[in-house]
Amino acid sequence: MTIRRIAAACALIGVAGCNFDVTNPGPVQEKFLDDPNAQTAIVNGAGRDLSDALNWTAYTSAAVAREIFPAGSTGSFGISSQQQIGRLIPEETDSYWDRGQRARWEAETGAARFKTDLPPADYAKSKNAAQVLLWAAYANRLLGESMCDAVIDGGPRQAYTVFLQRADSEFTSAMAIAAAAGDTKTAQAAQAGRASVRVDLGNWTGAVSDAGAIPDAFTYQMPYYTTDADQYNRIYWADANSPYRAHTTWNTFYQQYYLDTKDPRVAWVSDPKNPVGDAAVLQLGRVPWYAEMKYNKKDAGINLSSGWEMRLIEAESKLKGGDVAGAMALVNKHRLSLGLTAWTAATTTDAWTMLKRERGIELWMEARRLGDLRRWKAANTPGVLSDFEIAGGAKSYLDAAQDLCYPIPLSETQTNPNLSKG
Amino acid sequence: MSWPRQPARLLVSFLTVIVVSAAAAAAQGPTGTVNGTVRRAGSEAPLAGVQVSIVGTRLGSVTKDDGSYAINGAPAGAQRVEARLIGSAPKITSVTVIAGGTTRVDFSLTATALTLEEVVVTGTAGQARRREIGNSISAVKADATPEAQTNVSALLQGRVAGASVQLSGGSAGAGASIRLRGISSVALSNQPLVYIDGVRVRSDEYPKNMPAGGASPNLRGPNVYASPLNDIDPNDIERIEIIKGAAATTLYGTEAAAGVIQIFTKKGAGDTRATWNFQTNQGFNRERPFGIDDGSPCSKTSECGKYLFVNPWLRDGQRQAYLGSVSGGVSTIHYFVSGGFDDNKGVLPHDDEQKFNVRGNFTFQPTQKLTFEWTSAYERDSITNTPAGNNAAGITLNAFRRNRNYFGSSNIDTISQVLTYQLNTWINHSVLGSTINYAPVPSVTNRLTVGLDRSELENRNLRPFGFVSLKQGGLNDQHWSSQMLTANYVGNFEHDVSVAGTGVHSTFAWGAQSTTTDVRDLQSYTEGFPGPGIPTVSSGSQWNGVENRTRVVTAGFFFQEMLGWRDRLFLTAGVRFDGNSAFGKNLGLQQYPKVSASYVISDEDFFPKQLGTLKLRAAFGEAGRAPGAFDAIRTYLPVGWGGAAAFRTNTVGNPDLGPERSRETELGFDASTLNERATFELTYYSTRTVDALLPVRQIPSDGFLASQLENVGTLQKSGLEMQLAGDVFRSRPVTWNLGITTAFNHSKTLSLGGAPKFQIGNFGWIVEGEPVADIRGRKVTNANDIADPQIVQDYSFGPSQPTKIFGLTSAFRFARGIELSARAEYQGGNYLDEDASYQALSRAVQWPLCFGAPGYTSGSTDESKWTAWERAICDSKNVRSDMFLFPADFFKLRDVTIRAPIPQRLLTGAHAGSVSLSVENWYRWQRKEFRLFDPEMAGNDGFNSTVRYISEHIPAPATVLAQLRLTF
Repeated sequence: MTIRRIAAACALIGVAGCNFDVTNPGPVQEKFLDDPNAQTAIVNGAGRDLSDALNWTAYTSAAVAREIFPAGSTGSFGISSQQQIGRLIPEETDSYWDRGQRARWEAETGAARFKTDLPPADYAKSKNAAQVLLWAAYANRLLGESMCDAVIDGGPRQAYTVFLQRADSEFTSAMAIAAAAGDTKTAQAAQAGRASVRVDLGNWTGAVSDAGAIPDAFTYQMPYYTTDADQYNRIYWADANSPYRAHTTWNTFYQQYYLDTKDPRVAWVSDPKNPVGDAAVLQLGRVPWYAEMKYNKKDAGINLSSGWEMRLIEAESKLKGGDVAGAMALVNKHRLSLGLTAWTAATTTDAWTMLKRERGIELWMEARRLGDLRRWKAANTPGVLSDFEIAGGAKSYLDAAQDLCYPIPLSETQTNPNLSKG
Repeated sequence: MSWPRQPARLLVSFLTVIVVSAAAAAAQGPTGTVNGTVRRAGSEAPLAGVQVSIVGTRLGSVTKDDGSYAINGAPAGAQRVEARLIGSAPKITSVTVIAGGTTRVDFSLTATALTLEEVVVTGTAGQARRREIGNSISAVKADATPEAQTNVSALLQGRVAGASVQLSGGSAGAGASIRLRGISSVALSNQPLVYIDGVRVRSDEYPKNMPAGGASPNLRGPNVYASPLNDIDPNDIERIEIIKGAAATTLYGTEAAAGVIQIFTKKGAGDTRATWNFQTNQGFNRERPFGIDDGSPCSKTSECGKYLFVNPWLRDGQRQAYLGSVSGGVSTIHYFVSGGFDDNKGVLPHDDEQKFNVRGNFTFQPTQKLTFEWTSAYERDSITNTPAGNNAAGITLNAFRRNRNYFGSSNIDTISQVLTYQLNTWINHSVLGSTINYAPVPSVTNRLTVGLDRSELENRNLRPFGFVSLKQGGLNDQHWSSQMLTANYVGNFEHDVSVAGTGVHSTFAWGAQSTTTDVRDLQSYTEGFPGPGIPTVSSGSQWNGVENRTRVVTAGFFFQEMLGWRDRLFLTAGVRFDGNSAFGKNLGLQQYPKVSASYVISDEDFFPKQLGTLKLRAAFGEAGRAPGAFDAIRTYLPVGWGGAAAFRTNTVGNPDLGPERSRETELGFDASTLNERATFELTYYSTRTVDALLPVRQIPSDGFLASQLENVGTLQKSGLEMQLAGDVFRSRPVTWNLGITTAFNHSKTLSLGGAPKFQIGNFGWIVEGEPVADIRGRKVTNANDIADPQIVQDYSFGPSQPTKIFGLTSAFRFARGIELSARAEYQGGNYLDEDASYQALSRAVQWPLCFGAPGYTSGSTDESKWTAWERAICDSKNVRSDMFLFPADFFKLRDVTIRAPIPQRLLTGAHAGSVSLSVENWYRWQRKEFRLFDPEMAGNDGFNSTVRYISEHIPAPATVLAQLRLTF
């Protein structure tokens, strides 16, 4: 009996003192991010999540803005039935908002972490700091050009321009640090990005000044990878017949335009073996499947900034100043370099029409068109859109109440006390 | 004190000392043989599976199909022989065993569900008689179930009040969900804990066969989950005990809030002669209609709405099984060895599940004080599947959507191109357990069980070179393993408390348990094969790898005291202490108290004997549910970006995270009357889960998108369970036995602790004041009007789990042992998202739900004659995903079976034999609003999701099985 009692007591004490401190592999605890060797992964994490946000937003914005036309799938690689008619509703916009906010937060907290962890002199010339600030700025630009309102770190609702102002500031910081680090490419990307947000903010002087520093041939792309489906270019994959044929250039401005001009920027192909999309849409049933070729592989990058965009910024600035000839020269500069026929414009209105066409072509499916449409609508600029882009029009199949920005989704309004309280 | 890794080690050492010190064999005296036959009172039909034993010894036998038994080595002299069968009143007969001779003892057992002397194990500290237990405990005896057994899940359906067992789909290998008293947890698994012969085994599902990587590739597969519970051969089972709530599961501690199912396998008995059993099942699976009969003929070349156009690919799947076992032993050694092969071809073209099982159970009793039990089982499951579910490369999705599928064609040959998809799953599942019972003196018992449950699975998912939607091909290979190491020690000390002859008896129990779970998962994925051939992962041009490992340690100990007064009033109190590696670092050991009372009032002199037997009972107890391995810490995920390292935000973390606690009060009684012809059990329970773990959504603009578990909620559920069983009439030509189970369960979210309402998937919402979970979505309020739809958003339809479950078993037992039985079940009161219709209609697929809308099938867009409901769902501009929330009530005839013994003159060499024919799940009724599919189905999430939905699957098929059993 004595042995048993002792043994039982030992067992109970043993359990009470059992080592439950199990560290499982996989997820990384936050304290490890303070390791200087983790900086690159922090930068890349922000970059990956920005690429993810851009991937989703570029695709859906392209559908809502009729850069592409829905051709079937409504699910994870498709266009929902509401988006097919140009509606962006709070029940469906969490994917875009959440991804964009995560990218912004990761990049901004990454920059703050570097600023804390690095000596000031090192931070001022840190390539990692410049890069993470660049991702933060592009994330804010994506949010600012796409969302109807802004919220920062669980705060109250603010004007969407708050995102753009943060982008302006972060582009500025990235430029300075990249320049100090001797990273010309990053510095130019930051300046080009700043030019674009200054357009959005109405700072045309600043925009033109920045644009002028960027050469025609400059491009800065968000990369995509073949590693796994989450890192594929989503617009390509939704249209790669593997098995999705979720969108088409049929019934868009670009369908006939490409046939007429063979402009390589808006190329598309048809496939006799797969003449229609992967399901029926709207009241149209099956629609012809014309696959865009701008993104023709899984790892096709999406432009974040380019020299040709800068020329169009300069052109728009001239147009705002009434210099039609000067504007058209810049509108046509890339066209001529591609061997295309130049647009002509006899009137200011025609010039605006051509500028809007050319921005559509140049920035096709880059998550920029919705922002442009909102901006031009707010400024009541002259010029007409294509019949295929007009809300409520017979050709566009867009609802008259087409949305030009993403509302704050339920995922934010139902969790953020600053919003849910009214 | 920090005890390294395995708390079981100390227990093992402890018991080893005890065992070694006691290893002395008892001397044997003169012996004789006791034999006889056990029959059912009334019909006098022979009873199989009855345990017959010499009281006070471990000598015993189990009756064969003809009711006969024999016990050799019985001590000569006056003995008491006892016959026990679950569902029957035990009987004891005094005999004098003649040394070297044979003594015949026949029994006639009366069917009754109330057997207060029956010993049960689950939820008790060691073991206890039913009269001593203050909580409800259900038991199912496999031999008493007439139908041809196919799996453990099916065995439980309709037989246990408060248990909802639902089939998940028509693909081979698909498991079933088990919910005891509805949902216990919002965020964690609701599958009950499962023990086999004291060894904890995995109860959650196996991983499904799908490619690694995010987004849609994870849909490419059969989209079904296999269940470890179905690995056990139901023919090896002696009985199953089920305890359903925290009042009964306290001694299982932190992980037991969803209930416990304990399976006891056959052990053999002290026969000198081996008993051989051979059995074969032959039959087929057939899909029953699950669509709308649009009048079009069903053939291989035409559409048929009854099967949602998938009929060209449906077949009758052959089912065959061959099983054998041998059991027996001598007085000190018992054995049960079995083996079997089951080939279950599904109704889809490639679906096939082949199971191979072996089991060896051995009991060695060197002395009256010491018993060693060894159980071992191995199962090899080979599953071949057809691509199905919400899968663009699946046969069902493309068949349902016809010419608006991913091929743009309803052509059979075109769709059949997906059949080159190769989906294979291989599972090796071993359960090893060793139990030592040591009673150094009659008043003290010790029991130690050490067990290992190990499952290894390989999923191979191959789209070969040239596959229709991935021309270069792709291959995913997953190697996954789960290992659970269990150590469980229980000690008991019984003694009379001598207080002036009050007749108070004390049983003090103590024990300790540990479970260490180790899950490892390694997947490799490749695409881009250079050409045809049989590829490996190395054959592709690009690769991707995924690895996950989690280890969770749970350990605890308990004390319990039971006081019995005059063997009729019992008071029990106990407490369990638990630690868990997934708790937050600020949390220590957790305590779970219990108290219960049982009063056999019918033993009192004042109780009118003509009323029968009545036991009153009450119990209160707590149990918990532990969070996941990573839930307490703030983490980032290493996700990679291209070829570079990258971090992504993952979980916010919560250092105070602990288990959620379910506090349950149970009140009820067990009664029998009409001379034990009828028994009645009634249980009321009320459960409050405090510190409920809720997946609190984070604010997206704060950067963390994943929900964080927090102990903030309070949930409540309550219900009533009734079980009525008895012989409606008994006569020699026929006895009619009827059993009815009824359960009502209502749940409510009392508090979210300030967190906003949130969705846990498939339109199941957690909202204060509403059921757990509450199905919410859009309701068309003027559905039948010829008008534009009036739609209410966020409408509360009702609970996601059945609130009403009725089971009915009926058996006519005729003379000569012929038995005709039926089992039926109704579950309802809940709602379910039927998503397949939304997925089709949002793509403007011509869908049977809209065939009644004027002009719809001819392509007219004139909606002027359409009802509001038709305008809402049949116009793809209007349709929304949360419009297809339907009442999920269903009634199923689970089985109809006729069984008959084979006349002795037809048996050549066999001792006994029987034949049976079972028709299972042939008839189904569902609400008229639920027009397509089967409300019992699950979607791509599998059977274990907290809120199920329906995706592009087919329902589980009906089965027709003929069975032949022979005993030698």
